[in-house]
Amino acid sequence: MSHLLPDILFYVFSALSVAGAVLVLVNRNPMTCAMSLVVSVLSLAILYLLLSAHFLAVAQMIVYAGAIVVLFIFVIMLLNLTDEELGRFRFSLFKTIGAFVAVATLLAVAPDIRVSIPAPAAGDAGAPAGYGSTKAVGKLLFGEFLLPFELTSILILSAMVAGVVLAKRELQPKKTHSLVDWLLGFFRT
Amino acid sequence: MIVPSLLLELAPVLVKIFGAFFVVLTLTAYLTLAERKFSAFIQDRIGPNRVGPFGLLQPLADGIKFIFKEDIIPTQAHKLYYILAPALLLVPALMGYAVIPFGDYVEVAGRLIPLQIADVDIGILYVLAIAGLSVYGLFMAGWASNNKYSLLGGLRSSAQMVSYELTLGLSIVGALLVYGTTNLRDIVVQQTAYWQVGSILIPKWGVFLQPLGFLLFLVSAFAESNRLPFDLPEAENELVGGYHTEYGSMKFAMFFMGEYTGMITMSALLTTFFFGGWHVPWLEAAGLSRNVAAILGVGAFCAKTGCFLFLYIWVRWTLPRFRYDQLMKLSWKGVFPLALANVFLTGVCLYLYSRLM
Amino acid sequence: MISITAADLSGISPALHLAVAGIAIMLLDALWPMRSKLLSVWITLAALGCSLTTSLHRLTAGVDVTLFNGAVRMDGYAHAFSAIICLASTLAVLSAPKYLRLRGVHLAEYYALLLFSVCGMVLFAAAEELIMLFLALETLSIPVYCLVGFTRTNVYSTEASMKYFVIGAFATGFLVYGIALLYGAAGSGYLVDLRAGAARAPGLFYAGMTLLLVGFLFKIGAVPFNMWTPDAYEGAPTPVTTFMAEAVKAAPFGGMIKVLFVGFGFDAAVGLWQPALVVIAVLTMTVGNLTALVQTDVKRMMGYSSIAHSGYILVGILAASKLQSADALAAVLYYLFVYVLMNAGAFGILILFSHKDKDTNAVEDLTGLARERPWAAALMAVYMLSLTGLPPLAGFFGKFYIFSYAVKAGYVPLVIIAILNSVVSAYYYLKVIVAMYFRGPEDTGRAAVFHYEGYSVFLLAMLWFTAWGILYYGIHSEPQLALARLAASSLFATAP
Repeated sequence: MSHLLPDILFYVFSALSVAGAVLVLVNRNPMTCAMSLVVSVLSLAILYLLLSAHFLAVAQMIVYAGAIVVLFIFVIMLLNLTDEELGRFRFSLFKTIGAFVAVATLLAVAPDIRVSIPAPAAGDAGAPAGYGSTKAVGKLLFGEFLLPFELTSILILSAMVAGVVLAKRELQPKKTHSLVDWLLGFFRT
Repeated sequence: MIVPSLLLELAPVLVKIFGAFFVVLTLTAYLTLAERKFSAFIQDRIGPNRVGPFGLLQPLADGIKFIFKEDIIPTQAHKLYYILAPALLLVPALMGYAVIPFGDYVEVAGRLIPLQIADVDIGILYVLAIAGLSVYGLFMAGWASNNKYSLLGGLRSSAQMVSYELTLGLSIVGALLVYGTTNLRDIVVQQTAYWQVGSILIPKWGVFLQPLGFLLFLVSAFAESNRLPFDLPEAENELVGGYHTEYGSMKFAMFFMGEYTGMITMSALLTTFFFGGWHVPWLEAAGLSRNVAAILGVGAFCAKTGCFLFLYIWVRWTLPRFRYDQLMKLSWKGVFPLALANVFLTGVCLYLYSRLM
Repeated sequence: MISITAADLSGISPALHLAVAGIAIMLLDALWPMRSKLLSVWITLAALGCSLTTSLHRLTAGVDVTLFNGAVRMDGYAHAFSAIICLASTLAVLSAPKYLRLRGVHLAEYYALLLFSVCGMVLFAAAEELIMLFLALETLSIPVYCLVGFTRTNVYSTEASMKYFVIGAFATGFLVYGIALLYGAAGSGYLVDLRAGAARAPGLFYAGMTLLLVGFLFKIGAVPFNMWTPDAYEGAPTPVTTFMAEAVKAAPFGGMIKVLFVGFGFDAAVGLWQPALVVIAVLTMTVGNLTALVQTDVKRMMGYSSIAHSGYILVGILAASKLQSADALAAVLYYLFVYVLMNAGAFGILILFSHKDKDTNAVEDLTGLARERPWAAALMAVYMLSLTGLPPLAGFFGKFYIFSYAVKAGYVPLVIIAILNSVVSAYYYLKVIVAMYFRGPEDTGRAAVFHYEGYSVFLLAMLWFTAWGILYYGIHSEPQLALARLAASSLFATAP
């Protein structure tokens, strides 16, 4: 009885996430693509919840649904493409080959997916207490995965600097700005 | 035997859900009245006073009017998104309330029931995640209306929401460092302690621990709920009505309800995080029974939240609107660095404190 | 709870110097902005120098430590790659100030981004785990996308940056997907655990392996994943091209060789990737060299030449994996070292004669160089002859060692193809020498202008050092080879 609800939720949301992902691929309207992506992303978040990975689920919602897809949509709205500008769907050799390769990969991989899932523990005890909590994730990030975590910050910092360097209107301002100027400017505005 | 025990299990939860739902929706309705009354007071007018005593039935009349208005869908609008948008704004606003504790435990038939719909470990993160979703309603409305003003409003809203979501999250990191938990109930419980200065007991409220964090959160909360001075997505003298230009009838009402519900959630969060939630200072000394204290706590929670709601209204009718570039500048060059500085300072202080003590 | 020790930090110091220096440069520039960016240059050089000497010292001392719960392993192999990459980056940094000043984009961010990238490269060769591998690869790539577009007002630079970014991101997609499948198969991200995945879930494992290799091949510019190379090389500011042609070229091999030998080093997998790499090596050498023949732009030509050189290096990797010998892998490392010197020099000459309004990129632009600037022409001749592989220059010995080990491994047809390719490549390298020595302005009908604009001691030092290195380390290759052998044997010690 108690397993019924999670099972139903699992099937509903995994179907939704796959459907969302497929819609992203096949849809021609960029806005609908973005919204399908949101559906897919949110369904994944629910799946994480069902696996008791609470922190991951919320992080997924904040980062993907709350920030990344919003930026996608921001660009879509700025461009506001019409149907003519989007062009019509055309078959091409590469698309066909690509589709075949994708299906072939899927077929090659499919039989092994079952194998790769670790067998459930005896008695199906479920996740241990505190599993997936903020604390547990924090301990993993600052323990076992400390170096990748810190490297990510360097990665994001450099991406940020790269973005600013490429996009900033004037790289060498006439007036030099220092910390003092910044503080003063803060009070002026 | 499963069904009755399940019912017994579910009953308090259902009661709480419906109770909170009812209170929040009613409060939303009466907040519109309060807004009009206070604005009238500030502008030296009388305000609505025709429907019922002191105009108290005005929200009901408004509701009936909205329901009976013709429901128009513009011919060039994207129908699905146009209809979906108001719901997408209102639902997250209501969902956010689920994890906010509005009172201590009450004892009913020998069982302790927390006055909170769901006591989850990730509390505050959940609220932030849900708040982040409401932006979809805004820009979906802007995009689906197929109207330049709406589109601009939608664009503005997405940029504004993303910017201020960041500062909203970052401004409470300092507080989270102090509390060491993301569970909202634990956060309130920690604030029920006291500092002893001489013979005076000062409650350990978050606002004393994190004054800068509180200010930054307040600013971000105003921006996040699209209220003046940050209501640029709907700036009516620039954009007609922004994202909801093309909306009428109950759909328009839903945008309004979404905005006011968002205000309530943000006020409740401010209370929970920085003003001790349901905690009534120095009440422990009175030695009241658990249930009485809990009910008094609910009252305190409502009163504190009400103060912030009043602040919202007060600010709206007193301050002019920002310019858009000022709004962005404030977020990225003002609030954001200050929030980072707050995190840094809090970290240093906590480290020194743990070393010294 | 936080499991970080002094040993961890000191062990990873070659990468740490670079990251800290990068952040320091950014902070200094924000808090104390100066017109001249010389301080940034010196900080960069100091950091690279520290990393280089630390790596060399630890390489000779035989330091071998696994750090951060097994995320990275700083052994001889990682230290050797770190040393090669730091040397390459130092050369690239030396060539940068003059050019950037002429273009009006001499910013501190250039050096910060470069340092972050080098930090990623150092960790890439040290990574023992797939997540770390992916993050290091991204850290090394993303700053380079920006550096390619650093002269923002130049449309070619912007186009190159965009192309490189889109294709690079695409390649990363392959890589991440491969990593996901491999993790699914093996249930662990550590390279040494991967082989368990091949037995548990072969479909997942081999699909993942293929995707991972495709990602790597993109990064090293192997055919058929080479399309970004010439455009990115041509459009990028020349000092960035220098950086790409040596450091960004050498670094992906660091991770790739490790993954091939440690992660996929067991018989069943080797049987699959070896034949595939043979085909790709042949294609890479041939396509790269044949396309380079018709180029008139030196940077573009060097782009195709770098593709061809990837092919030679792949031959070396194949030989090393077949022979399972540290000596053969040492030849690959030696080749990378020599390759760095030759490329830095060749691009340095182009920078030497770059003007405020115009680059000197076309082969034609070098016409008559020998009459006007005999020393510069002589240096360029040394680099070109070394790239061709003429004895007694270092380039010859690099190729010689690789090919001789390949013959030993039984790859005779492969070596014949490689040697034929070397002969073909002589045509386009010598084209530059012909233009410099045997043609004058009367042939092109244009007055040759070879004056130094924005004289830079850094650049001259770099040019003389590389030329000396090519002449000296060609004949005295034994100490270098000994170091490389030390490095290679530490990799084979971990490989199954």
